[in-house]
Amino acid sequence: MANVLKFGLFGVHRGKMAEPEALGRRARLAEAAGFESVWVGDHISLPMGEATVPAYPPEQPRLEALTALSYLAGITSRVRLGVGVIVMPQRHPLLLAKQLTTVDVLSGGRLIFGIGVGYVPAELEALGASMADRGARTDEYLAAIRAVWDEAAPAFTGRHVAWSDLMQRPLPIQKPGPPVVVGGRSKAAYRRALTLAHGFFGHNWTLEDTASVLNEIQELARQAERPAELGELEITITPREAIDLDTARRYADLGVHRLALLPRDLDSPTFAEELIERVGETVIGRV
Amino acid sequence: MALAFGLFGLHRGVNTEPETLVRRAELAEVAGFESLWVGDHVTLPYGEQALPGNPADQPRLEVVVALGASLADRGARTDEYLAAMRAIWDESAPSFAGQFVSFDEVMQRPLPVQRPNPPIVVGGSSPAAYRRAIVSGNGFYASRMNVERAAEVLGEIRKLSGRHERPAELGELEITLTPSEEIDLDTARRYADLGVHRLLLWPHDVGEAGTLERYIETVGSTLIGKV
Repeated sequence: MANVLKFGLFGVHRGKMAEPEALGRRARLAEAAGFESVWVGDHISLPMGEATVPAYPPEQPRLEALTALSYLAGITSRVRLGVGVIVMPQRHPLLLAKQLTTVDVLSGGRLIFGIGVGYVPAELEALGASMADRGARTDEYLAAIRAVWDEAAPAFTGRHVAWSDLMQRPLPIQKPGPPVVVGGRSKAAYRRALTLAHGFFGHNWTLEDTASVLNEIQELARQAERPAELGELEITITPREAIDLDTARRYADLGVHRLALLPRDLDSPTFAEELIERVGETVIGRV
Repeated sequence: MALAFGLFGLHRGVNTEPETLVRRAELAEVAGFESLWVGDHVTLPYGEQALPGNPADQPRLEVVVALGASLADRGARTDEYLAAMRAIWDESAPSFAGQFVSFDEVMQRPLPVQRPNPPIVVGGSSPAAYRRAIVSGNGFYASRMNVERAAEVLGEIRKLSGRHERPAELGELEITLTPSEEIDLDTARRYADLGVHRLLLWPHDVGEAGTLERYIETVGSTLIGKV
């Protein structure tokens, strides 16, 4: 592959890293080690009791995604700042556009805007959305945000939101806006990525999962119309395996552009640091 | 009790450039300012609906307009949302049922470092705002008034305090004002004598290079710590 595999550090806002000192230290360590990006996820509130999502204990500390990135914008200088992914139906697009712009401006144009439809019913409903309308809201909100970022047309009329003659300044540093990355594991997500986004994000996948989904995406690409200005679909995967040089090469061979590594133990005082150092020394720049 | 000085509006205009923002914030901290404040408009009307004093094309980082709310329900929403946030921040009761929002058994962690929550300062210049500050705010804020108007407003708040019950845990109502006149030592003392706790200074002309920096230094050397 001609392109160099990029490395991101995922989940930097969770567990131990919800403490500002640890968050700052690990992000700067990753930047120094050659990581291209740092990533945060997005859960506003998590269900307790019987509705608990097993992978997401509600007691685990997690900072709000864009606020955490805003902090990181101030203490890093080079790494890109990714949100992987914002649960779109839960956020009013006019407010979200303002927040995204703010992070893009404060970081000097380093934001990557990941989006998803969400999958936790209690969380969606508490924030005014639902499992039934999440896909439609996601498409509409993305179009609305792009209207805010379009110099010429600060008006929007959708089924869920509408406005006219309202203006936001400044505009993002990245034109016409930060790159959009769609996450999810469904045909609808793949189609959304192909037709509306710069990239695609697969979370917690194995090599096998990745190979099979990338095949599916290629199949769909034959039918879906991809606007030329979106360029090649950039693939980001959070791998389930521990990453060494060999595994990283296998991901690159599949056509993956970026691995966003999630430290398996976010609460350990040293696990993430060791991962950052090991990957920096043995993998980054070699694939 | 010393009068505290805050600096408002660092997020607007040329300050939206991150380096300028940081440099001025650091300068203010060194000069002895107790706090830095930003305003909130997500988006602003332009054309015929433009608000005097808030040009829509002046760059702003954070920013109010009806985002699914209306002028008719804004008071009810404000009261309800504040109660909902307190429920989220209450360790034992992460459930809430209101007219506009409801949730049940959803949790947010971490909790704020300040317990039970960051101080809540209610802004506005109407009897409704004064009542809201008395019954549910740690503090009250009003923008752009002179000493004479400030004396009237604080008088109204004191009168209303006799009619509305203030929960003991909110403590004394902390008063923050943005004065409309240029502040010198004498004016600052008059505000302090009225019972104002913090002056939140809003420098008018921040466009020209060096102007705001000089302002910050002057306030630091002539006012802060002297009232």
